[in-house]
Amino acid sequence: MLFSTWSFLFFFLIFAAGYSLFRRRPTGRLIWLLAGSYFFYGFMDVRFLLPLMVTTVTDFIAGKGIERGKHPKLFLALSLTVDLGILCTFKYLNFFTENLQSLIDAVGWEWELPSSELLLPVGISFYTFQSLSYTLGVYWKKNRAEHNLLRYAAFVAMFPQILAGPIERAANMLPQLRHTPLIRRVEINDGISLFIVGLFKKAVMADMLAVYVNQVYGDLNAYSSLSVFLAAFFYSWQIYFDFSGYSDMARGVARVLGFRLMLNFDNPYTSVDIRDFWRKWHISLSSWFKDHVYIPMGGGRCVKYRVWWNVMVTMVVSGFWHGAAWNFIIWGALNGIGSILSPRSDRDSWYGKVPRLLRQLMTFLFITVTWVFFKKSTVPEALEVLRRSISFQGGINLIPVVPLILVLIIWVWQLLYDSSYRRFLSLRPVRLGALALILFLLFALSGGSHEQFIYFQF
Amino acid sequence: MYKKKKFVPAANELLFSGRELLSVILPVLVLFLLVLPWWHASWETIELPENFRLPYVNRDNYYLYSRCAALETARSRYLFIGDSAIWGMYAGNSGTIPAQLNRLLKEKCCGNLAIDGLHPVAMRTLVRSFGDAIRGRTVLLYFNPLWVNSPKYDLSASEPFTVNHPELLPQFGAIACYQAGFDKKVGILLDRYVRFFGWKKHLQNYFYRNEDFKSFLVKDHFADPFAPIRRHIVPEEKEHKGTEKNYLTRGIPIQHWEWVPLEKSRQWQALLDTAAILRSRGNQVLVMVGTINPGLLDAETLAGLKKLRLQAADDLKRKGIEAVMFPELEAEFYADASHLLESGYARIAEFLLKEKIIRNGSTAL
Repeated sequence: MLFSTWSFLFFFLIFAAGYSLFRRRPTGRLIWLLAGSYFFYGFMDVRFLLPLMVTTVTDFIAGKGIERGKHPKLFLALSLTVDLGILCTFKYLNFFTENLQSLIDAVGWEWELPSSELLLPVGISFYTFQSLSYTLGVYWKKNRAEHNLLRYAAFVAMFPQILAGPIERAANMLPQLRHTPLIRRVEINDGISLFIVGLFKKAVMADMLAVYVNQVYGDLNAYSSLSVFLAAFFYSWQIYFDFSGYSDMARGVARVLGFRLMLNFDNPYTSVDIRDFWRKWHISLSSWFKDHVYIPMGGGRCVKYRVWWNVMVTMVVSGFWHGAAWNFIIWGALNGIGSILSPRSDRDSWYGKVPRLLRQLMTFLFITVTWVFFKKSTVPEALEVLRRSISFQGGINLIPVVPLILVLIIWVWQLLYDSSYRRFLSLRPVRLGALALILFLLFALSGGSHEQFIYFQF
Repeated sequence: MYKKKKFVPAANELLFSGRELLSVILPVLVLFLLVLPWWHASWETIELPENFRLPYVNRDNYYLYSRCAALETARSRYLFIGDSAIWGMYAGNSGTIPAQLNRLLKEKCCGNLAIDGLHPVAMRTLVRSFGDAIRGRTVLLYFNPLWVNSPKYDLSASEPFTVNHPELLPQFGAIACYQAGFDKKVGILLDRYVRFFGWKKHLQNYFYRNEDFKSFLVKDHFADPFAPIRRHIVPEEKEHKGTEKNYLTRGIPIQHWEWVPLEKSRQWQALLDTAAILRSRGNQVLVMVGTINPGLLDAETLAGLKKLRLQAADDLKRKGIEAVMFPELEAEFYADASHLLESGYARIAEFLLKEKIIRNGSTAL
């Protein structure tokens, strides 16, 4: 069930009505929240519920086992094995068998490895990491074990964020689930505001840019270098609008129910260097990898080469999290190299003297190049996109003015928000004008072709 | 323990108070749902060509249909409603039954409000939701037996089937063969009942080549997005020029059909409902019971057809609805199973005049 559908609207109205009835009854509220979340998740395919339930029950038992303190490592191993085992079975099995098959073929052996026909449950990477962060948190004593299975199951399956995050932390969400949610006017207004902005990002901007990107990338040789460059530029924004739009809607829905989900995107295309970008892009995942991979490996408190190694491992694993394909691994590696080699505003004084806007543009350009590897499934295809976009070749010159203007307006808005002119954006006429424009475009441009949320595949 | 981070509600200054939301959402809703569709309807002028029929490319533009129906009702005493057999699939604009009648009568008194693929279940919704302007006229409804030639076409089968005009089906009724998703069904109902959505679809269909606006903005990159919209429109069929080729050249095999009994037929019931709706709006209704190319049916099917047509006429008579049986024409007048050639339509037009179904200078049947 997608947020931008009528099914969701009907589901949410029924759910919210029941939720308001049970709001002050803790058990009833949790049962309703869990039932609603399982319905929401199982609506796509009821079989998806099985791995979710196995993950939930395993980590619930593991959390209690770790806290009891007799064999914490054993219980942690149980959690890691089951969670990552399920994730690998559904998501990575075919990747490994295909690569192994290629190796076998290269050696010349006549072995035929079976391929998996399993359907990838939507959002499995998100809820697996959310659940894993709980057991790791208990093991590292960052959070306490939960002793109420209902509450833990509701935490893992909570419908606003189960499909594509934000990947919440137990320490943030479980306390919220323990108390009667505070639902005042401000929560409802904020929730509606977030939802409108998120819907605009997805149903108008992301879907509109997708038309262009799919058209140009679908027949690269027919288009001019400028068009191919523009497709790469638009893809950077498409993926941002798509994913941050989903996050905004998820946060908006949760907010109306009285929950506070973490900010997942902090205007990432205003970043001044690559590390800054990763502090602003998909924050819940970046911070997950930072907390659970980068820091346990030693983080930045090691010798230089060890830090580089830590960064590379973290970024490559992060790339692999996105998808079981080499292009995602390469995308992660490129970001790792970028993080290591690129100058940093907070460390390199000479770089700090470069005009801020120029640093932001350079960072955006680098990120745009990496997105090409994210979008294209093979390295030669990605390199071909890059080659064509700088080769000044002729072809169809497709420059969609209206989408371009809209993207530039939004970019300028974000740059202003990130600058000392931010107060200009808080002026009521400016804010209300923006809301009117958003609603106008939603009415005029939404509907028609819908692209699947990009991050659902992860 | 985990260090709790400060909650950041949003990073864009786009959080609004309830008053702010209302102060923008309400005017925008009024603008889009009320003002724009009504303003555009009065701004846009539609000129119906003399031999108007809803163009094939606009066959699911029901908003346009409703506006054209109002104009056609204003200038014609006799209105023909039916599927492509009346619309004139193999006829030019001047070769359809209403056009030939107008020529024979030397006056513009017959209008063609048929739509390609309009089966009776769809016709019922079309008349109910988009034919409100059809009042005080003589309406000739066409019953094409083709729609009861099997449970599938009768929409009484349960196997999934791609139905013509799904937007005009009962969306949450008991039509088992129509299996659209919930969201699509809700979208269709909004298109049908909220004028804005029907109007938006009209703009897309008539001016933007059926593309959604997002695609248009991308593909017609340098264009002014409003440039395609014209104030004065003339909905004229331009694709179908007519044909002289009859069914023999098409290699259609002999057919055997199991007719659905009318008392169990969903399509027949829908036709009766349509007649009732039209009558409740002060129209005189006459049902034209159609026929099928005899050269394409085996003997058993042909016998069944004769029985079915008689049963239809009886049923209509019992319900107080006037009926006329189309004459059984020879096979060479047919382009396929149910579509006549222009020469066939000429015969039907002559028949309607001879039987005084259509009369010069009179509004009565």
